Amino acid sequence: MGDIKVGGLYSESKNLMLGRVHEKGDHGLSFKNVFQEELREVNRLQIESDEMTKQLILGETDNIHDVMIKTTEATLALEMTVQVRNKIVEAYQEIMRMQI
Amino acid sequence: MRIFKAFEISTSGLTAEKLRMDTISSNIANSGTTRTEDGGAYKRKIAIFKENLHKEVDSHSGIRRIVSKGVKVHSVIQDEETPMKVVYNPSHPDADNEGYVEMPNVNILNEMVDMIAATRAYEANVTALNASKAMFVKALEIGK
Repeated sequence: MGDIKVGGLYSESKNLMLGRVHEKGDHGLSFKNVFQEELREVNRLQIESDEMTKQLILGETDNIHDVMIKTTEATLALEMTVQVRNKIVEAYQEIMRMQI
Repeated sequence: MRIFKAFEISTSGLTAEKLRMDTISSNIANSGTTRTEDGGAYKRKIAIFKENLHKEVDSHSGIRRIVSKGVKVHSVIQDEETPMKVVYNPSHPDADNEGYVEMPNVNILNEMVDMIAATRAYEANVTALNASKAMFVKALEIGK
């Protein structure tokens, strides 16, 4: 992902237009960090769902609805990740297509 | 994850209704039980639910607030109100000197109605869960 900061893109391009070069360094949360954190969360949900399914198969749990809900949560989280990724790629391509 | 809060609440409802169903099954299964650990005939069990509130501090604003976490099972109590059924059956090993046997205070008809209520409540929780899932999926379609 490199150093792409979608959130800060506008202010950075404004700074460039004004002749100010943005100094390196993170001011607060960068998009990359937030995204990484969320990816970790999605991964955690996937592992949790795996664990629950395993428990159900081994007969360690009798709550089928818990397993179903965890699986649904994992599916939805992944779906959302894919959507966010699509938006990032879309934004990136939009910029790459820009005429200079 | 906070976005799945509605899921958690529905899950608590499903778990509670499942326990209610277990209690009803136990009542029906023991409707003819004359011997228990405590002595005497089986007494009808009732599941008591309680609202599950949780105190929480907002990580951004630091404001304390009370949020709902759904429902939790408070306790399972024995029905002491309904009188025990007494049946005349002198050949029964648990009959008293006059030939009467104390039978559980379980009324199958009541249990059937409770069972329908539990099943429907479970279904309602599943419907609520599916609705929140549909909302989430719809939200992902924004801007497509």
